[in-house]
Amino acid sequence: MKEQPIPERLQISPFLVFFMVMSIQIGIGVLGYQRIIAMDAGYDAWISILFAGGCIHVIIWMIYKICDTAGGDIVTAHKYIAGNFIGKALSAIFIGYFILFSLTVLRTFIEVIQVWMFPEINTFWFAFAFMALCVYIIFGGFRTVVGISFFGLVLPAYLILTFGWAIKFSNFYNLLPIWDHSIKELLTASYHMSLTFIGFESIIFFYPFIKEPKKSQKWAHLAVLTTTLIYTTLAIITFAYFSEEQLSKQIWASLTMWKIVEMPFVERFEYIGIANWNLIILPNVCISVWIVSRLIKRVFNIRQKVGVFFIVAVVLFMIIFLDTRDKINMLNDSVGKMGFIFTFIYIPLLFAAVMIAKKLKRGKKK
Amino acid sequence: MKNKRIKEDIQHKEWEQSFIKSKDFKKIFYYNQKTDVRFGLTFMATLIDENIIQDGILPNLLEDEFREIEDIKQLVPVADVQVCDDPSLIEQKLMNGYVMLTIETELKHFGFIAAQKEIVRGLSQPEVEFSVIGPKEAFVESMGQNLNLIRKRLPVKELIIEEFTLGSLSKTSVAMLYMENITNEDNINTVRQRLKNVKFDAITDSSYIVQLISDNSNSPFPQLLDTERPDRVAGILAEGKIAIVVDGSPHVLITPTTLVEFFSSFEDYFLNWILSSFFRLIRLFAVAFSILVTPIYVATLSYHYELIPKDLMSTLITSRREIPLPPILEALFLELTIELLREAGARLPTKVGQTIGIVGGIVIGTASVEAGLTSNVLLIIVALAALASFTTPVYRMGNTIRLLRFPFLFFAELWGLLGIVFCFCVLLTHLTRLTSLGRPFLEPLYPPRVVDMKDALIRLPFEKQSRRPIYLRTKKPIRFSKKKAKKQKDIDE
Amino acid sequence: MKKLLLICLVLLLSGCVDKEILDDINIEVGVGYDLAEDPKDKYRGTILFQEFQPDKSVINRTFSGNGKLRQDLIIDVTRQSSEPVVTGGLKVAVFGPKISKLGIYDLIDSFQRDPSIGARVFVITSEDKAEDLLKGEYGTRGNSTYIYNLIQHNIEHRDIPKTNLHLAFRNYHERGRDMFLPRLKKIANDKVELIGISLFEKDKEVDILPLEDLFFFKLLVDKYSEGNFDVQLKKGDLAAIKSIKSTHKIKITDNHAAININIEGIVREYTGTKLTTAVVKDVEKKLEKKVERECLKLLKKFQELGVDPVGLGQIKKTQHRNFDYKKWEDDYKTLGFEVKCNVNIEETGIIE
Repeated sequence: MKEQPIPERLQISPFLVFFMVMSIQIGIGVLGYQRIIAMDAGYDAWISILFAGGCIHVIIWMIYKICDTAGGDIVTAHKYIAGNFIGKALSAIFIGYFILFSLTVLRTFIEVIQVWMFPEINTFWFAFAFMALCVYIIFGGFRTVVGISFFGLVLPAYLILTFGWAIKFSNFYNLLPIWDHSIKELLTASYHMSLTFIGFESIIFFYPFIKEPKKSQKWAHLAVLTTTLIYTTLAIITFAYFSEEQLSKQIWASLTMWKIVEMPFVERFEYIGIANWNLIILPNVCISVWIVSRLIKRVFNIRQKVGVFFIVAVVLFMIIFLDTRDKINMLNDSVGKMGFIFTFIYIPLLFAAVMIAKKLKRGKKK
Repeated sequence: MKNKRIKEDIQHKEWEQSFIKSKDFKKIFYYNQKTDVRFGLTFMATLIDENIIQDGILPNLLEDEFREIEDIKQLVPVADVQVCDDPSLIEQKLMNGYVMLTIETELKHFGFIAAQKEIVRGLSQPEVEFSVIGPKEAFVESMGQNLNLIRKRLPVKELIIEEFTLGSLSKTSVAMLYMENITNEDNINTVRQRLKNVKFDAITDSSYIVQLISDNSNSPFPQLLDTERPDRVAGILAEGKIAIVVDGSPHVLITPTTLVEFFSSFEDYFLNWILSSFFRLIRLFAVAFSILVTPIYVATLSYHYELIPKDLMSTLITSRREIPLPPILEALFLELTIELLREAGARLPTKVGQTIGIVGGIVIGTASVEAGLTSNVLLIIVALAALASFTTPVYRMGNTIRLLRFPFLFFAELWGLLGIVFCFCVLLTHLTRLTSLGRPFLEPLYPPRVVDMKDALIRLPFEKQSRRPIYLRTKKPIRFSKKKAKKQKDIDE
Repeated sequence: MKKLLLICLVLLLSGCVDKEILDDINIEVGVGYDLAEDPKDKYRGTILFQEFQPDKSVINRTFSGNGKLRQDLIIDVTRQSSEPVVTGGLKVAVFGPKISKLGIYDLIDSFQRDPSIGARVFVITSEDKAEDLLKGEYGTRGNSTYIYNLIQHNIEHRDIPKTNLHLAFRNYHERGRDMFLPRLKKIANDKVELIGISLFEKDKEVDILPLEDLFFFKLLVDKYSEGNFDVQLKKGDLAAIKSIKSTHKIKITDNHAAININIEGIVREYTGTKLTTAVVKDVEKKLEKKVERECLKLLKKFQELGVDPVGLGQIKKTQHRNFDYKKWEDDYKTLGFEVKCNVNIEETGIIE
């Protein structure tokens, strides 16, 4: 049973992987990761970001190796090591993970809106409109999803510059002395940082859609590198802007930093920033919903269009029950943990399994 | 044998039956005294240039050695003379302005002599795409004339003109133009196929074709560029695009096209690249401004008072103090007024239209501010937005931009700035999904192609544009070879 | 199309959020807190609104209320106001003398918690009741704009160190650093004046730095980019130095703080006969001496008061790993200071 290759007109150029990876990585976490990592490693936490970023390169390398060896996405890889039925069963687990992922991102974003802009905005109806837009995007096919990822990264890129205003009120001596924390603390911070980094593992799902996938590997690495640098820079500015105890109170440190921005025509920037964040969140949700619908199609042989509606229905149903900060936090934590397990434990295991399977199959042929 | 003949006769009579009701149907018989041949001329008087019959056809047929139909090819000094024996062609030929020649002895043969009356408007200046610099010729309503204007600019044999007749009633001639050695074969086939598939009875203008062969007819965005400038058509043909000329329409269609092309005026190519790049950016800014500024006003005033700088606060509050309407209604009121003015101005003769513009702009605007219906700040904003929307060089896109403002207003009212960004996302998705002839409409923005950026948002000098746009997938991607290894010049050498 | 319309309609009906239309709200632009006379309530607050006249002049409107929480005040004021009260436009927060001595943390904290309040709000203390300060009539553009601009330009060109809500909050939370706030006094119904800086220990005001000390205070805690100072010379001549740029470097070893101050400036005015190089040297010397003396005096004063607005503790922390804040509190009491100043006068104006 040979899988049908993806026709070329549906595939994307290798360099677009750069935008895909970055736009799914940068999402809701950027708004408040500084506090979480500073809790463990204090103002040395930027080292942890670099370390976590470094680890991810290894995982990316593994992902490409897995996909290259199995010749397809994760479903193919599962079939490659465990046969058709178990392979599909293994793949089905990720349907749940990515549904939860999109749910978390969307709900947390709505929470930000509710806290910062419109306390009365109706969670369900905003989610409904948002998901309707997602359906419209996904029905345009993978290329449209990538297109939105591209714009979702390029258009709001100017937001990075707005953090420059904070520099005037920063004290970079805050970061001194460097290396004031133990390795263990730094590693714990790295672990927490990895939650902000997750998302790049989606490569393993859309790998067959890349034209000349091998060429795209360097773009994936470059994307992770850029994200790491952005996160590090932002963290350093944040650490300089806040005092340590003050930061520990800021749930959304990045948003709070926008309060200092003042332009001749705009007195307060955070409202513009949050509105713009809609464009950054959109690819996050779209890519994950697309991945789930693709998985459903591959595992259960259900048409992708039907799958999309199913996911949207599930997300909209579940979002009604997420009404308090505690529940949202719990969801965030558990999705973060799942993501960590998936990327940093499961993928290396899968990598090992694929390598072993490859050796065995080669042995059989001889 | 005899039976068959009668049948044919009846058929003959039948087609005449329906014609005879029209008063312009003429059938006249003549007699050549030299050869004793009686022949008849049948034609539609309204389509025929009588002078051709008087001077070109009749003298020769009456006085020369005219024995059988085939002779007309030698006798009649008209280029388009055909002889055929298929009665089913009669109707079409007559309706295309041919004179039918019949001889009593040869019932099965018909001669057709072209004698169309060409009513051609004189060449005039382009009205929508007027440019101060550059050629002042514009297309007219005659296809022949238009093709002439294009062919003159591209006098090479590779320029192919394919003709179609579309419309079950209008029988409109439509020509597809492309460069055989440049244009992508798939594109040509797609256009050909789509033109052949057109099913509509009366096609009276190229706008019909635009709507009939678009990729997505449910989009407010035009997916074919229309132009009235022959120089623009020649330019895009050389790039490897396809032009569609429709008889009776002074607008020629260009396909495939991209969004940025709608914001480039052909005058850009006549100016220095720095100037034209600057103007393009200005135009782009104008479009964004025109769409977004009123929604931003509504959003800020309805939801985000925090954003307003403290120095501007007094201006805004004092201007809105007496106004009973919420910002959204205020904005809608003014926007609709402007739309009314535009519609009224467009439907009225030029002179009256101008008066309407002035009356509307000054009188209604001032009066509504004084009456406390709208704030003067918003009046300025809406007027600027309207002004900015006129900078779009392509009229069709200007209309789209007029429309786009309203969904943005709706969302601004709904969720403030967040709504504007949301609506922008919808628009972005729509544009990303849109294709023109199967080629992405947003190119070179997405898929991002740096090479094509040279002639998109900005226009780089011609020497930098040695390649044709990638998205056209031309057969010859290179326009001209760059001079290799330029010697590096030093100062004062 | 029908579906689209239906979605839009549903969204419009159910998705709408509460509007705050600019001219239908009362924007709080200034707020003042005093200690309540009635001990049952914690404080008495005054909210300042602006009312714009058709000719764009501003009428100041104040409403007062009592309460235990910041929210109580807004509820109280809403009862008197014709339109809903919103806090997003806050520019100035004033604390009266009694309440600042008792502690203002709760109120500042509620500012930080409120997402609608910006970071550039100026928090100030007042010599007399905050209510009175806000009830003046300063300038034509409204009291809050007047006070805001007053402090803003004094930060940019004069002797107030950089301050705003964010910085006050940061200093408050920084371990080994204390908060300070500018202090204002109403001197007439249409006049308000800057009179110094309030020094805080945690959230309680402990002392007031008079105007004369501000130049040296700013040298210690902030950078000058455009300052002014007059130097008295021996013969009774005066030299005005302008465009002062300053930086400071602080190095702290175990029990000793070495403070290096660098000043660059231009002599703008001189009352003596001739401004020779020797005089310029003299000006430099004089200024160096004065800065060293005064700064040392200030540092000693802070030490006595047990406050640390310069942030010596934090600076020591950045220079030493495994810093112990507990120990520092004792160390600070015995810390020795050494102030070194270096003045460099670059220009002497367009005449010699």
